[in-house]
Amino acid sequence: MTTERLLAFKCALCGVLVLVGFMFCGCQRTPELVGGTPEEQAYDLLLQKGKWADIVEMNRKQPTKSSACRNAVRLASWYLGQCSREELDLCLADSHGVLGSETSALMMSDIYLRLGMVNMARRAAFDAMVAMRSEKPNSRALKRLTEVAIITGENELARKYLLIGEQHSDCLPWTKKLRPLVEHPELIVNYPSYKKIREIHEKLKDDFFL
Amino acid sequence: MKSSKTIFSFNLLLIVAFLSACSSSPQDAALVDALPVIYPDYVDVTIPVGIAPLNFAMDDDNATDIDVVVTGSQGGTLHSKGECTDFDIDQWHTLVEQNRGGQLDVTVCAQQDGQWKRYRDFCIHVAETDLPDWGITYRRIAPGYEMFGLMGIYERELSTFEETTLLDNHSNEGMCINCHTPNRANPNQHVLHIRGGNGATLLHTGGKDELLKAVNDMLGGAMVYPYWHPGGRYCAFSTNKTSQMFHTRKENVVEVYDTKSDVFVYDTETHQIIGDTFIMKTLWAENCPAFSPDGLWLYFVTARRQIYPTDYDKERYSLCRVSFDPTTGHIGQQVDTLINAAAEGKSISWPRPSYDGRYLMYTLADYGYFTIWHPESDLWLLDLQTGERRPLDTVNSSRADSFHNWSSDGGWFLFTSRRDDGRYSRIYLSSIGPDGQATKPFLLPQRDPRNFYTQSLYSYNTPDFTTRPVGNDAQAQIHALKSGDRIPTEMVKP
Repeated sequence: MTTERLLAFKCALCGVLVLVGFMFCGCQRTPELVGGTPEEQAYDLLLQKGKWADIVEMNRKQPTKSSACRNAVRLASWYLGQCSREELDLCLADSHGVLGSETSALMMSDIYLRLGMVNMARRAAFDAMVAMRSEKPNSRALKRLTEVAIITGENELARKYLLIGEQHSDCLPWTKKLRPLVEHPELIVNYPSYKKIREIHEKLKDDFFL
Repeated sequence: MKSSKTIFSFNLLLIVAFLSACSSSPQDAALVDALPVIYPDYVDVTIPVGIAPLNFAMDDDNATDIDVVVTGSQGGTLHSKGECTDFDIDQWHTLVEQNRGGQLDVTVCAQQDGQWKRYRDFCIHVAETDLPDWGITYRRIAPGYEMFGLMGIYERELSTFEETTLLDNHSNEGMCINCHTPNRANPNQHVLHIRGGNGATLLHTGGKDELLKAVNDMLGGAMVYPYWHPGGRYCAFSTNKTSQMFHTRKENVVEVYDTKSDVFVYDTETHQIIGDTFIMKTLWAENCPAFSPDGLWLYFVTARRQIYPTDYDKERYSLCRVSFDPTTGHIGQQVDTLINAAAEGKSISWPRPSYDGRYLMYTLADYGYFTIWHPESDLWLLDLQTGERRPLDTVNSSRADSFHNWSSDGGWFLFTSRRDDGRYSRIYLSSIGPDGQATKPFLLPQRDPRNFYTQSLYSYNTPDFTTRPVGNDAQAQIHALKSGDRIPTEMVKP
C-alpha cells in the first residue's frame, strides 16, 4: 500500500469512526449538534458535557481561532483554577462577532448561563434561533429561552415558549421536565441548578457587553 | 302496546338525562359576578365599522370551551362556540354595521372542569366612523442581535385576516429589511431601506422604484428613519451611526444608541440630500424627523451627544421644529424647542403629527430614543392648538408602548406594545375622540388570536396604515436589488 493510499485509508477510517461515534452519541441522547464548524461542534459537545480538561487539552494541541471556542477554553480554565474570574470576564466582555453561527451562539448561551448572565444567555439563544433561518424553532435555543424566563420569573414568557415546544416532538423531553416548573414557579427551590443561577443573577452587578 | 310506548318514553328520558349529565350546557351555567378574563382583552374597546371579527378565547388554560352571544344595541345577534370564537366574517360585518355608533353586548359562558360558568356581560363600542384605511403594513422580525434571521414586510387587510408578503429575505440571506414608510398611508409613495450585501434605499415614487446607494460617503451613513413631505417631492431622513450594548443585569436587556445622528431632507427629483447646520449640529444628535401636515414645518428630536457607552442614560431628546419651504427646499434659520424634555429628565422620540394638524403624538421614555426596548416608554399627546400635553392613560401599559402612526383620516392610530409578555411587540389600534380622549386599544384581530400570538416568535415593527394594497412587484424588486445598480445621491448645503 502506497503512503497516499495508507493516508486515504486512515482518513476514511477516521471518518467512519467519527460517524459511528456521532451515531452512538445520538443513540445515547447526548447533546445535539447544530450548524457551525466541525471545531465548534467538537468544543460544543465537550462544553455541554462539562469536560473542562478535554477542552483545555484540545486547545493546547491546536489553538482555536473561533471566538466562541476561545471563550469555552477560558471558561474551562476558570473551572480548573487556571485563570481568575476577572480574566474570564475580560475575555467575555467583548461579545461582538462571537455569535457567528448556530453552534457558537448556543455555546455562548451555555457559557453565559453557567456564569449566571441570564440576559446574555437569552441574547445568544435568540441569535442561535435566528441563525437557523427556519420557521421551526431550534429545540436547544427554545429550551434555553424557557429556562431563562423561568429563572427571571417571566412566567408568561416561559409558558409561551413551553407551549411552542410542546408542538414539536424534538422538544418534548425538555417540555415534560419544565412544565411543572412553569405551572408552579415556586418549585424552583427543587431545581438546584436554576435556583443557583437565579441567586447569582440577582447578585450580579450590571455590566455592559458590546 | 301502551307498555312498549311507556318503555320507549322512559328510555328516551334516560338518554336525555344521561346526555344532560355528561355535558351541561351554557343554559345551566352558574353565574359568576365578574367579567370574563379573555385573550385578547377586548372588554370595553372601541372598534371602527369594517374591522375584522374580534375573536377571542378565555385566558385560562382550564377553560375548554367558550360559548359567546353578541347582541347589538341596535339589533342583530351572533353566536359562536368552541375553544375560541370564530365569528363568520360577513355576519360580523353586518352586525357591526347595523350597530354603528352603538354597542355590542357580549355574553360569555365558559366550560371549566365540565361545568359551565356565565360571566358578567361586557360591551364593545362601535364608532360612528368606518375603518379609515384598507389595511396596515408592518415588519415582522424575530429577536436577534448579531445575525439577520427571517424577516419580512407584510400588508394585512383590516377587514379580514388576510396577510400578504410585500418583501422578505427568505431567499436572500444576509438581507435586513427596515422600516417600510408610505406617504400618509398612501402606498403610491413609499420608502424602505435594505441592509446587507445588496443594501439600498428603495424609494417608490412616480410609479417606479428607485434604488439609491445605501450609504452616502459625504453624509457618512445611510438614510435611516424616513418621513415623507405631504407634497411628495421631499422625504426627510435621519442618518444614524447606531450601536447596541447589552446589560448583564438590568431589565432593559439591550440599549440601542447613536454615537452620531443628523436629520436631512432628500429631494426625489434631483437626488440631492439637503443638509443644514441647524439640523446637523456636531455636538447634538438630531433624529426622528416628521413633516407637519401642511408641509411647512419639520419636527425632529435632538439630544446633546454623550460619552458612549458609559453615559448612554444621559442622552435625552427634546422636541424641536424648524420651518421648511417646499417651493425652494430651504430649511429655516431658527429652531423652536417645543418641549424641553431633557430639562425634565425625560426623552422624546417618534413625533407624529395627526394629518389634520391638531395633535402630535410622541413616545416618552427616561432616556434614549430606541423606546421599544424601554418598559417605561409611553405614548403622549401634544395638542398643537393649546400646547397642552398629557399621557394617553387609556392606551399605555406598564410595558413598552412605542412606535405609532395615524390613519389617513387622523381619527385612528396604531402602535406597538410589548404588554402581552414583555418580549414580543404586537400591534394595537385605538382612536382619538372629539374630546381628545383615546379609546381603549384593541389588539390586531386574528382568526385564532390565542394560538396565533402564543405560537409566534416574531415581533411587529414600524406599523403604518395603507389606504389600499401596496401592489409592489417583489420579484422585480429582488432582481433589482441583486443587480447592484444604484443611483448615487449628492449632498448639497446652503
